[in-house]
Amino acid sequence: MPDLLDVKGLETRFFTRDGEVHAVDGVSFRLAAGETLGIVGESGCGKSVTALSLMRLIPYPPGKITAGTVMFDGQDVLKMDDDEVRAIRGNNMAMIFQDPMTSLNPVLTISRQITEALELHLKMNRTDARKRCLELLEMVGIPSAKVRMDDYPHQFSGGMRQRVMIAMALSCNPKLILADEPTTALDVTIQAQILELLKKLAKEFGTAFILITHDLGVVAGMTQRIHVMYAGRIVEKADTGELFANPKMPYTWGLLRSIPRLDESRRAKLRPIEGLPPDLINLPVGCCFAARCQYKRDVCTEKEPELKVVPKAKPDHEARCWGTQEGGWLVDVDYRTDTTVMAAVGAAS
Amino acid sequence: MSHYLVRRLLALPLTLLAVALITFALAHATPGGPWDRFDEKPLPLQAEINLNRYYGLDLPVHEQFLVYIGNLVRLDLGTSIQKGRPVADIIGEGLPVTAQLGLQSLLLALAVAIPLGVVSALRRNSLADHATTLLATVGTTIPNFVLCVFFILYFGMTLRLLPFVGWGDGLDVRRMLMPTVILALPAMGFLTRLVRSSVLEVLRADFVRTARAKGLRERSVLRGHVLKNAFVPVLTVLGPATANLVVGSFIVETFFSIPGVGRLFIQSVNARDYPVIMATTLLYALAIGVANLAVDLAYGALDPRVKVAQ
Ligand SMILES: Nc1ncnc2c1ncn2[C@@H]1O[C@H](COP(=O)(O)OP(=O)(O)OP(=O)(O)O)[C@@H](O)[C@H]1O
Ligand SMILES: [Mg+2]
Repeated sequence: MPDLLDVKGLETRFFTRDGEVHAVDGVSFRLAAGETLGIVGESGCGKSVTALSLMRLIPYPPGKITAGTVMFDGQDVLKMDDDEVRAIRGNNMAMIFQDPMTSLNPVLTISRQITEALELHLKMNRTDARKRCLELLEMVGIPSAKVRMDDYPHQFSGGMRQRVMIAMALSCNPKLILADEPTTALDVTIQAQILELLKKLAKEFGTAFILITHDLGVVAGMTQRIHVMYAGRIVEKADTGELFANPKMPYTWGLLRSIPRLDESRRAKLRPIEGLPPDLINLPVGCCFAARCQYKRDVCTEKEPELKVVPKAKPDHEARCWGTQEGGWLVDVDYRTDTTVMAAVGAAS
Repeated sequence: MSHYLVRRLLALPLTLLAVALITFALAHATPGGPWDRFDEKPLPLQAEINLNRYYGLDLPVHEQFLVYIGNLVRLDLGTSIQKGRPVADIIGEGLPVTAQLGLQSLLLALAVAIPLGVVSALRRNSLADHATTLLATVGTTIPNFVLCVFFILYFGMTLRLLPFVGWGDGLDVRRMLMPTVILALPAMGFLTRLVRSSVLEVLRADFVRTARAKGLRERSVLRGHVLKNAFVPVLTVLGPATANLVVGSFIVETFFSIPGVGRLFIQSVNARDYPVIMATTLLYALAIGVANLAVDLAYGALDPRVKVAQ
């Protein structure tokens, strides 16, 4: 079966007064129908820009997709004309945004904002669209949906609004949902509910989804595979279980160390990754992570490594790191027992 | 909603009372009086005393005020000192003219500002955008009286294109053109810029991205999602805009000899015609109050987040 989504060499830049921002720089990945994928990385690494690029929603100017192909359902989204892209948006490919407080139109009723897409893509009339809207709202767990469907967004709580966003995304039975940090703006307790709902509904409808987050903890039970992004590139790809059990790239190690763990003693400090991501206008020579990497060697600052299958791991596990490639100095290092970082932290404090 | 309306309607007379008090005090504190004659012989003292007694001007000022308010409550606006006719009649003649001039100007300002502002937001650095900048600069920086002089001199006297005296029957488009345009210009310039910046801001909002992500055409995004939100700030300035039109009408009506309330106000101030000063001021205050109330109500209808009930 062909992939639902096949992204190759995606490159998106912003042409700003300060220079060209290389927000997404050669991202490639694939997704089968019904598959779930997590994209994880620090703030500013290009996750949102990647998702928006897939739907061609990058604001121009200043943004522009400068290279790559995005094959969706057998067609290259980047080569479509505007009408063709619009026919896909909200229909076959839908998006859930980060901030449910600002992502709904404050002056339109909830029902109107959902029926709009139904009327547009499924050619429903008002009555049928409202009926379907009610079904959708009940499905995402809006209590007394019948009464509340004609409320305005400000009358809903953040969690409710994100449920509305999910209902909106599911309304036309899309094949793919892009969820860009759907729970970041919500309370922790609500977060879990929303993620559960998304997972359950996507499974029910066989919808593939890409869950974007900066928190590895969030994707753990949610997606089949995880791609870790850094400075506009994918630096590690693996099955979710494999990534947590056998991570390869020092950046991923850093992310894992910064997740709070229940089984660790309370005295064990969280260890955020030191330093800042590189400036996306003036990217460094060599590996983008080298400046912050505790394990770097000369080669790391001379030449950029490619994303390669790593040895001693599952076959589709790839990493972008000189140290983890065949014969590299990190192949046998286990980040949990390794003392290099501990020593470094100790020396610093 | 109705509670709010009732409260606002009750507040209006209180506002008017305050306006009346201040105006009365200022008018009487201003040196000079209705009997001053600059061009002729001054009135004999006895005549002045008699006249003062006739118009009630011999009473202490606070008593005069109470008498005035008492009459006002009975809808008696008094008699013009200058013209010797009932103030209500004089106002009744001027009001339709001023109301037409004001409404016409406001509508003209909106009719230009909304499309021009939207287009210049959508096509930045286009011809429309440059026109907006020019209009905003001219409209908001050049004072009305300069525009009046310039228009009258150039279009009226030099080119002899348009008449510039009087108002006619309210249907004479050529005669009304210059005063209407001049009165509209400041509001037009200001509103165009406001519409432009407001549309630009809404275009950047997250929910516009959501609308695009639904697959809506750009036109539907604009109509269904951008415009209504963009008009909220525009609506809120229509109250103050009315106040500016009021001030503009004093000048424009005087320059173009338009027999409206604005010119009447200026004349009455010059003549210390106290009953007319009071009536015109209160009328303008009422107009601004009603405009603000209407704006608030419309605001609640446009933006559901505004709970008018509270
Ligand atoms: N409109 C824009 N103009 C200029 N640069 C932009 C624009 N939008 C995004 N960028 C740049 O692109 C880079 C990637 O941004 P993106 O929003 O994809 O990050 P992200 O991974 O989603 O981060 P976050 O977790 O904060 O959402 C950032 O460095 C940002 O500065
Ligand atoms: Mg983001």
